Amino acid sequence: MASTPATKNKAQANSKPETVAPEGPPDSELLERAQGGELAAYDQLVKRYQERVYATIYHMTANHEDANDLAQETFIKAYQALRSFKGDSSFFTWVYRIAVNKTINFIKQRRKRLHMSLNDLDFNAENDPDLVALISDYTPRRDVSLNELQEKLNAAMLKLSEVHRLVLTLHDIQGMPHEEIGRILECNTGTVRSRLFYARQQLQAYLSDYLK
Amino acid sequence: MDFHSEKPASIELDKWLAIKRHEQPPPGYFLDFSDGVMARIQAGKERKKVSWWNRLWLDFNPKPVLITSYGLTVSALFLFGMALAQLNEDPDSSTQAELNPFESGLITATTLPGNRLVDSGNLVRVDTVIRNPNQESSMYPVLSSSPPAFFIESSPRLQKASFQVK
Repeated sequence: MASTPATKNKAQANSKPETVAPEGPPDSELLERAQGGELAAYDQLVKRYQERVYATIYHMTANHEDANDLAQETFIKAYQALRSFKGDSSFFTWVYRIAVNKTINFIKQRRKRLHMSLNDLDFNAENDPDLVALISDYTPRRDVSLNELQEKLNAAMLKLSEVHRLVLTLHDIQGMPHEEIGRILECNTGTVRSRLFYARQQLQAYLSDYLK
Repeated sequence: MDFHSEKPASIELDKWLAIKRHEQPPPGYFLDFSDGVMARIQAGKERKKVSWWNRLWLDFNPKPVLITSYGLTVSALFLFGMALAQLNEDPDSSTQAELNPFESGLITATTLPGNRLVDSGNLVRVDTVIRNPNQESSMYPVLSSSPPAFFIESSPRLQKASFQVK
């Protein structure tokens, strides 16, 4: 039940895959300088990964304020643990692992008190052919708005378990490959694929009223 | 369910998920994000340099209500402790404590309506005072001619005592 090649490519294009070389010094150099106490070097690392870390946390919590707090705390904790970073994984994977663990712990603690605070859709949304088709052709009520669909989708995603929501976020929304997801979650790619399959099935079931 | 009918639902799910890719935080959000992180890291470093006493003061300083309530609690505990010590030091109360058969578990008293405590100097028993027959009283050797003040004066309706007073 994998995504189609067209949407998968689009997802990967919209995200920033790790294979694309970042601008400026490599992570290893910045890391070394940050471990030596240079805050400016760590600032560059934060700027490099802030959007992706924030996005992952936001898609998991569906709440901008919580995502803001958790994302900041992720980078603060990463800085405090910088000396213990051995370099056996990339800095990106290591920070993501911190973000994921923090977010899952947060969600588990606030399980019954999660409420949505959704970000607005950017101005490109209404021009996205996928979304145009979704509204005009594939919904029972053709006057439904994008915002309504957005709420339905986020509410359905919140019904998924944390782990399933996470793999769906990392793969289908942020375009991360299975191998990288496996490194972050410290599991093999087979587990990632099976969780992803189950997550998509569950989400389809929750959205079945709107899906054709 | 055959695969063909299942396939379109999967494709539609991908279109749904495209909504998520268009969700963006407020404009300019990421311009200040790293500054916020650095400020918090710097504040944490400054905090570690401060001695524990100054840190405590910094914690309490902007919270006058908190520090006032702490002060009041400590004062109340101090006064309570002093009052307790005063009671224990009072000779009358110590004698009563010595003579108090209630403490030795020999006597259990209940109060009937109409009875009241008096310091009459007379040993008066009412039916409300129950002696444990299985225990010898250890209080007699130290009893003075003046009985403790806790004995309840009998109401007009006295009943015959159900125990023997030695």
